[in-house]
Amino acid sequence: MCERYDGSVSLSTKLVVLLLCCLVGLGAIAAIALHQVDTVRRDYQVLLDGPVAQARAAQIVQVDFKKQVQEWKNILLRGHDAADLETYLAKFKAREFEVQTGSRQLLEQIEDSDTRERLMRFIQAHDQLRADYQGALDALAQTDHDYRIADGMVRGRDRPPTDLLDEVADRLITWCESELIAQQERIGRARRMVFATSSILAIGLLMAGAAVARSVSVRLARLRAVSDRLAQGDIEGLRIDVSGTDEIGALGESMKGVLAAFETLLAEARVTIDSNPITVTMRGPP
Amino acid sequence: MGVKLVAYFDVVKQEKGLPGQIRLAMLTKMSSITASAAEDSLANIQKFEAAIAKIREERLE
Repeated sequence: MCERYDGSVSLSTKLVVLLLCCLVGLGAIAAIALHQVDTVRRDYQVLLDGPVAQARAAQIVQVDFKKQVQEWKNILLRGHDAADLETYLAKFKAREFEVQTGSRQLLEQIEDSDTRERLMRFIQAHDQLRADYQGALDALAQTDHDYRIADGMVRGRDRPPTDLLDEVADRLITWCESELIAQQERIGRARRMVFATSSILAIGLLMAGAAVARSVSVRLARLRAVSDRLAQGDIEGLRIDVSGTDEIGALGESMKGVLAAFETLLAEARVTIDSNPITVTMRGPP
Repeated sequence: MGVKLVAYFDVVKQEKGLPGQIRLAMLTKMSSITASAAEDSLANIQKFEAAIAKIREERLE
């Protein structure tokens, strides 16, 4: 005779569900981590395209402007030779053009109003300086390269725009640094979130696994104790306290039947013995 | 208390003998002693009726 278990939630189903939960949990942790990595990557790209690029552009304009001023000094010092004058003048104009285009391109990118205002003042000052340099160049040509007259016309005029450009670059670099710090804080938060989420998931899975393991081991231990007492015939006051809808619960129910059958058998045996007392006669050796 | 339930054990004993009694105890999870102390409730009676019907269908040796 064979009794088949038809419980609603079998032990194997519980284990499969637990395994699936583990897989889903691991998948969730991986998805969260990947999402955070992607977010950090995008944030860094925004940082590179914004603050870093603007600070770098400002530094390039700074360098170009310093080179432009340096080329002016070359014109004054070495421009008495026509060929050298032509060379240094070409370099001077090239630097001047780079400063003009670079500063205007930078202005289109900057959103901060104070920084924009400073850069606009620089552009205006640079335009004025351009006119001043042109006047000095004209004077240089008219005075047979008397550099003292030309130098006197523009001496110190490059300092205000230099200061303005330095302020622009400093503000952009400061902004860039603050954005980097903010980005590092965001990374720290993301790292903590991934750690916390994975810890919660891991703890949840561990608790679920421990609950299943404990449920199995505790009930099996009870059934073993019952089995040991049945094997010894010690059924007085024996009760089977094993519940559940899985195979162990079904085994517990089955053992309740076995215990009931055992009790019935003993009861019948007692009735039979009581109604048919056995007389044993001891005899000596023949 | 359990008069009807105990009577089922007597019935099955007459029909199937000791194996029938053991089978009834196994199916109902109640020994004859437990049955005598249990309620003659509708649920218990239905359980015993179902067990008896099953035992009658079985060939016990």
